[in-house]
Amino acid sequence: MFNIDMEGIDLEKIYDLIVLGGGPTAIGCAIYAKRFAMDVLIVGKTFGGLIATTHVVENYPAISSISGQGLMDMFKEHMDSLEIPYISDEIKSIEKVNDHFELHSFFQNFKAYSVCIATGSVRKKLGIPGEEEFAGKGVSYCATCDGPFFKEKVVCVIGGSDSAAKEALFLAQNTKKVYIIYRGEDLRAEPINKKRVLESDKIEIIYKTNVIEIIGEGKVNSVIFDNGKRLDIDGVFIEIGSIPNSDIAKRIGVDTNERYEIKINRKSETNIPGIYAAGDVADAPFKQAIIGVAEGVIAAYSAFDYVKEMNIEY
Amino acid sequence: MKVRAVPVSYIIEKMIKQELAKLKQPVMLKLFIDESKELETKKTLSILKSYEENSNNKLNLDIITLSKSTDIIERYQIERFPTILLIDAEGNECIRYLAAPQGSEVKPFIQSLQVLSGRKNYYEETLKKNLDNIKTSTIKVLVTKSCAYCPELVNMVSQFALGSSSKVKAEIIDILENPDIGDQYNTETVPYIVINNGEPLIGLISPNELLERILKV
Repeated sequence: MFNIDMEGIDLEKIYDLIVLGGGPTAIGCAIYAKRFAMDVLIVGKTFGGLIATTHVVENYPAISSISGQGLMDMFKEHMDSLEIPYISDEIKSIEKVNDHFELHSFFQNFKAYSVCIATGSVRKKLGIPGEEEFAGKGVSYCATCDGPFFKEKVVCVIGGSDSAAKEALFLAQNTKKVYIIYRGEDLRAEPINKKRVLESDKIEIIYKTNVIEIIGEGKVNSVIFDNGKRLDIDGVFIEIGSIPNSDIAKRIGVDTNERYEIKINRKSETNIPGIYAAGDVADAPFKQAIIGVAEGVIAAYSAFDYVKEMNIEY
Repeated sequence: MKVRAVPVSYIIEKMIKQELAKLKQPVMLKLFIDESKELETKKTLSILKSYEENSNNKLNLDIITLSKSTDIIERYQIERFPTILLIDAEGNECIRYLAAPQGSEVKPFIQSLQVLSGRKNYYEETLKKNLDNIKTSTIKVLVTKSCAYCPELVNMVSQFALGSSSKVKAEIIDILENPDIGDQYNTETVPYIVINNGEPLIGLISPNELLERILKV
């Protein structure tokens, strides 16, 4: 459940740890915190995070193959078995009050001695003409969400990452044809996915090409390349990376780098004592669920030590 | 490439039993069916029957058939079959489902049953404070079964409907099962929200964004 059930949630008490986010990083952090007997609460905007939109996950150790949604169902079951409460809301501000933090959303206020920011990232936009106009009318950022609308149609995936390759493979299952349009010379996908793409008779890769405009009449019907050529298409799936959701961190003075990622050390600590960060919102070089979970776990250890030093009774 | 099956359905089945066992007060569900649509009727009926069986007699399923009950079908303005209505204690329609509550849509559906059954609604306090400024609204949420973001949004809109003293009604529509509705809004994306047939909201939005959209000012 999304635990809007308020019975296990005491808004007056000061939580030992509030985790912001709804993906594997946040849940991994909360599971460890709970096992340290900490009072922990998760407040997230999207349960499941970006990985829930992945059609197949094959690199999460101990699970050879599962859908992103299926993986998050398993996280959910683990979380529920420990009775970790989750609230579907967005924290707008955090302030330090005496020995604790106060977190404010439009709907409620929360208090915690420590906070872990695991807010993940959002899909990057291309910023080209037509992208906004045709959002929901052929332009998409989620193949598992919108792929079913393009059965037996021709679509393109813009990007050359592993995620782009996986989106193309998913779309190829039901569409007539998938073009991958990539500005580079060689796909950056994991070799196993790159091989699958190259072997697919439905996927064609157009290298060293940028899409500069999306065109249509009511719905998308074509894209224009930087070499002036036009490709007739029914759907455009944009998969060019993501931007960290670090606004809340920046507002309270947490240091970020030039990519807006929160700077953390080996203990998942930020520059503000008691505030931790983990997962895609942090500055680790590889954005993977397993890495996020590990950083979240480290944050839980660090938060436990931090709160313990405050001599708070458990 | 095939995704190998893992025991996810077992997890959902377990969750359904656990969560339905938490129902406090009896809850009424109305299911409107057209017997001539055998396949759709059978599917929805079997899902809801399994919910009913696991609810310790707290969930009451009222089945209304097109051929026998024209009055009630007119009263609730039922135009499609099957339609599921979640009804409050006063008999008011709160949430309308033009979608089968299965797969990931199980979670928000049961959460709504729990709130109808007496559990506290997270958004209710703020909604009640703003009740005078909330427009009478019907919020349509267009979804598909494979959409990962849809369940959370369905849950949010449903809780708004349940916490707004009948000022807000929610309508959950699977547009792969009702493609003409998708065509009507010319959309190829989900989640897609339409409030009183105004400008759509595309993608996942936060609860405060939703509240801003239903306030008069």
